[in-house]
Amino acid sequence: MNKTVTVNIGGIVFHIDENAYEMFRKYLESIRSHFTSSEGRDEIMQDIESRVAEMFQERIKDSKEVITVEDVEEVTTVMGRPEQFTDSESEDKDESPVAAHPPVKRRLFRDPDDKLLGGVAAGIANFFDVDPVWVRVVWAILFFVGGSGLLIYIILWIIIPEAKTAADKLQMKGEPVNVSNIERNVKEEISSLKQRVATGGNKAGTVVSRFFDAIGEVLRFLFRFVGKLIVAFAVIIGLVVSVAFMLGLFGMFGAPWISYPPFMSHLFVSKAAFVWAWIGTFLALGLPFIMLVYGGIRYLLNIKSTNRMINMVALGLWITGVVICLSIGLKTAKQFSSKESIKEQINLLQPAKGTLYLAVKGNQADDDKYDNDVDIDGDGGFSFSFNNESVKLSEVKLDIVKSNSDQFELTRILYARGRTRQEAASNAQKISYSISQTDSAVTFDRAFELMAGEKFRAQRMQLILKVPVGKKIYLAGNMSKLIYDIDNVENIWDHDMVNRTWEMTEQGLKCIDCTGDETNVGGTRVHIGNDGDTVSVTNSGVKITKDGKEVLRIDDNGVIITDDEKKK
Amino acid sequence: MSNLENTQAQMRKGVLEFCILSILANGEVYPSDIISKMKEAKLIVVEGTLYPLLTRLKNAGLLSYRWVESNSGPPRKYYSLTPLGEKFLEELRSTWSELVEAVHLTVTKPTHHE
Repeated sequence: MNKTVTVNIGGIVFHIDENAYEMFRKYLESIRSHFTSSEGRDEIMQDIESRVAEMFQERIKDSKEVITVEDVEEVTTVMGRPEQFTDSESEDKDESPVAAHPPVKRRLFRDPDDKLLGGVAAGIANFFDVDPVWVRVVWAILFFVGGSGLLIYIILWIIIPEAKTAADKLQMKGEPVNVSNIERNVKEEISSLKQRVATGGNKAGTVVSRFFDAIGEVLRFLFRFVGKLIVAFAVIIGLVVSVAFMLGLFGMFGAPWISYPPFMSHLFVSKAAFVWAWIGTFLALGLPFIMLVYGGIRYLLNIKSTNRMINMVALGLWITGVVICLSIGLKTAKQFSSKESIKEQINLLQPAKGTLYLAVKGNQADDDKYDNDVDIDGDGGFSFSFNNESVKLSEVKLDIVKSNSDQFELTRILYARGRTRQEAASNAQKISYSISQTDSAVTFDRAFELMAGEKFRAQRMQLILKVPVGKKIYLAGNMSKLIYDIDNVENIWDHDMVNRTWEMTEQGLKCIDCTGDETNVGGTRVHIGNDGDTVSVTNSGVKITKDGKEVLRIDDNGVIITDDEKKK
Repeated sequence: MSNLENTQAQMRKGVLEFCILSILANGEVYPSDIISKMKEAKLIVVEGTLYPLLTRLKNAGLLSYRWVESNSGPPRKYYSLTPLGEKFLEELRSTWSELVEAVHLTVTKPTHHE
């Protein structure tokens, strides 16, 4: 099936095959550029068109309605290429046979006569006048560099037209593109620019308009150059991004037809959903960059085509990709639509001495069994790690409040989401978390786990420790990761509450062994340069440390300067 | 080799105008007719050669044309010689016979019956 174009040739309407049209248009253009207007170009063109119309007319009899590529080929053979027109003014004037046939400007085509795959390498070799072997060697190397060679090859295969006609093949092997030719082209362009500036000025008359015309010409010239540079840059960026994107898709999420990475299994409803998401992401995000490269290369190589199929197909695929992403996104979002929480009491042994020592289980081996760590906001606020069996989530927070009884009590609330409240509840139940107690030492897990096959549905956990008035707790250093916004009498920030002992009073938690260096609400600590250099402003005063040693302190006792160097 | 082709082309080109004008001397003709005759004589290879030539001759005032409706395509240009063209052709004819004589004398191998 082929699209047809309706054209008016010599006053007669023809239906012509799209490819045939393109071919015929190029043919007419080549004739047009062969003559100058002083030779009566328009009349010659008219005569030739009339004759072609006649020949076409002969060919569309016998129930055949459309002019095909074969017809155009035959007609152009009969009519001949402009190079074959033996008589023309320019030739008469110019006796030198070499100059009579100025070398054809070389154009990039795929070479069908010397091809292994699509003739891309042979075409490029023709363009630069080198042996195709070298181009193929470069491809072979590029194939191994992230497969970028393959991508470029396919794009070039699509955008570079095949040399079909004899004229195409002539242009394909015309003047090679080399430095001296490029230099000549640029010089020609500049001289024609000068000419246009000059003639434009003569026509315009006034000095002012001549000046602006000249500026306009120069600007146009510059814009074209800068435009090409920008496009070249965009092509490189597009290429890098699309290759990186492909590697990312394959590397991080695997090829969907091969593997179903464990992390993905926690999020998506089914493997099918994951495959669709993969395809959708590729189409919606990857395709635009590939098209950027495609369009850019076409612009740079000046390849024009009336074939808009590729653009339409790409647009269609992109829209499909967006729709797929949206529908998978909605489907997955529905899994999060209802929430539920479950409150559970955890048995605690009451400490004999009235002090409970709290710590986080610091087992390095436990962490090492996870191959992949992802820290979403960079400070451990929301982070997860996963391996083939399970995913580990650090969405655990501990609050410490006053107990109404004379007992230490520990409560945990499990939160989760799901399609329904029942499902959310069952998702919450899937949290696997342990707390161990040895005498007065309570050890918490840093994170909870979800086993393979269990879905991540925004599970999180809140622990609440109730401390009776008069009893104490000690927070080990690593508890800073677990505690969150614990109220205390001194208003000390969480991260300075660790490594301290706290006693529950009627007013709330009160620090027993605080040094006064802790930062609290309203106070601040600024780190300057090295880790040990800080300025802290607290309720008790101001303190400056250098390399971890106190150098200045202003508090109830006055100003104290401790400067080792001055003492010497 | 390309030199030979070039020389051959130059030779043909020289007589092209003369031939076209001669064909036109027999009466009004349509370019296709000229082409088929020229092709028979192997004077031209492709049709495209003719159109620029006709245009040039017409612009020089040697030819004129009139439009004739065609039942199988667009209207056709029928060319004929102008009085100037006829004079021009006459000149060419005499030049041609002189040229043939001269070439004959130069090219023919000398005979032995002196």
